[in-house]
Amino acid sequence: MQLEWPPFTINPEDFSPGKLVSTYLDVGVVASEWDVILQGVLVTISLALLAEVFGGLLGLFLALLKISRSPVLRLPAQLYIDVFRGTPLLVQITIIYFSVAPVGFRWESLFFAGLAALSLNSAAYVAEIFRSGIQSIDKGQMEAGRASGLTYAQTMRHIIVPQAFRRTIPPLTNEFVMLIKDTSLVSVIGLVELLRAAQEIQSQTFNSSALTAAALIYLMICLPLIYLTNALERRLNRRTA
Amino acid sequence: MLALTAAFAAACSGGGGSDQGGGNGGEETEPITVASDIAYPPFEFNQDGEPTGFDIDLMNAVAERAGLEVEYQNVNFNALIQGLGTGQFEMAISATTITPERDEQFDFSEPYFNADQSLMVQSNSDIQNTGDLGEATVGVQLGTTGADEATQLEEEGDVADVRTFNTITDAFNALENGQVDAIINDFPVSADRASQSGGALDIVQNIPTGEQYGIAFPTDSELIPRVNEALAEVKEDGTYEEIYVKWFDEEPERIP
Repeated sequence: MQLEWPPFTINPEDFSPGKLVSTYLDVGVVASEWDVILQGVLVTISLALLAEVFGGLLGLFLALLKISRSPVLRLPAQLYIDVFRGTPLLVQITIIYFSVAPVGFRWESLFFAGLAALSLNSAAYVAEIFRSGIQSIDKGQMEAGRASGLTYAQTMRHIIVPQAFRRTIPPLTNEFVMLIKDTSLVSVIGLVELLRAAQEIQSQTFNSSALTAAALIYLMICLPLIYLTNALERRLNRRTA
Repeated sequence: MLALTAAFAAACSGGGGSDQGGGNGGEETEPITVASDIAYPPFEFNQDGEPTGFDIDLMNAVAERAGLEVEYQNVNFNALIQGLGTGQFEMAISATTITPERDEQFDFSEPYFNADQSLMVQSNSDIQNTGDLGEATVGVQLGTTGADEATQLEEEGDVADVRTFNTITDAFNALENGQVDAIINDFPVSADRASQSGGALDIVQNIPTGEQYGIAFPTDSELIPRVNEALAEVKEDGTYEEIYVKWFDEEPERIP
């Protein structure tokens, strides 16, 4: 471990606005590599959207298992959620991509390898969101459903889950924002999403402007969603208040 | 640029912290921090928690003659290349090929190693040379001359796809797992991995690029003449050969 103190020095005489702009804000570099960046944006958005869908479906399934009274159903779901929430996503991606050959498994598609890691991870978080959403619905609803002759599954499907879903929209949107940012982690397996596209441009041009562009693009995608989450939360609070 | 230069125990962080820009006169007591991507055997790798390898032995020998105290900082290769350009490191030894593009961003010592690129595949692969890569996915390490070579082949339509990894170890793993079809990388490093793969990986082609490694410095570093002088001594007095034989089990064909 290197713990030099002070950990950095500041040299005001080295400050050069011109170099700052040419290193980080060179529009020419970004413009000449725009097709590479745009391709990366498409991969990032596709990954996030598809992982949200697959993670959402698996997450709902896990949530239903987790609220089950049967330990045979509940415990495997609990284990899955614990493992995926309790380990870093970067570790999961690395294991899922680099360490599966000895079990006779090989990824032919880099995109699907990245998508699988993100979906499996997202499912664990979404499961918790759905579980708390379902459990937030008054117990009387289930009792009323059962009393009126519906089965447990029917009551879940037609009464509980639709109501729970509305309450889970803000946290799900929030989870989606995390997912968009987390897609950058799959760059380690060589998938050219937005971050890796920018890094490849940086390595070839010795200029960091593509990274600045990538940061701005992430911001442009995530900020509206963050404000949307806030608005949805306010609206939900008004309704339930 | 507002240089938030990390003070890698640099000459400029002495007790008074006021001797910035000096450093050439007299003896430094603060060690110089040398950046290196210490995951690149046999040039630099960790053994029992200590950096070791050809580059490290050579650097230590050079530093001793130049009267410099050095310590090593492990940095990912692309970060090292970019950081030299922005003056983050005082010095770097990391099997770094001297290229005109890099020379524009920072400075090099005299060359200290002759290296070529190589094509490595799984032993049962049909790929025998770079002419067979038309439908192949080639793995490389981000920011390396192997990546440049592969990207150029891709642009000429001779390689189907190039995948960049942060470390060469990741690229080697992907090849062993069959997730890339071939790797283009510095010959000695791929040769080392092939020899340790128990016959699973083979180098099928030496790609003669005439590359030479150099020790890297931020532009106009005052350390360059001192290091060059010491490097020349190490090459002449037999130390270079000794270190070369230690790591490659053969005499160098010629010393750069």
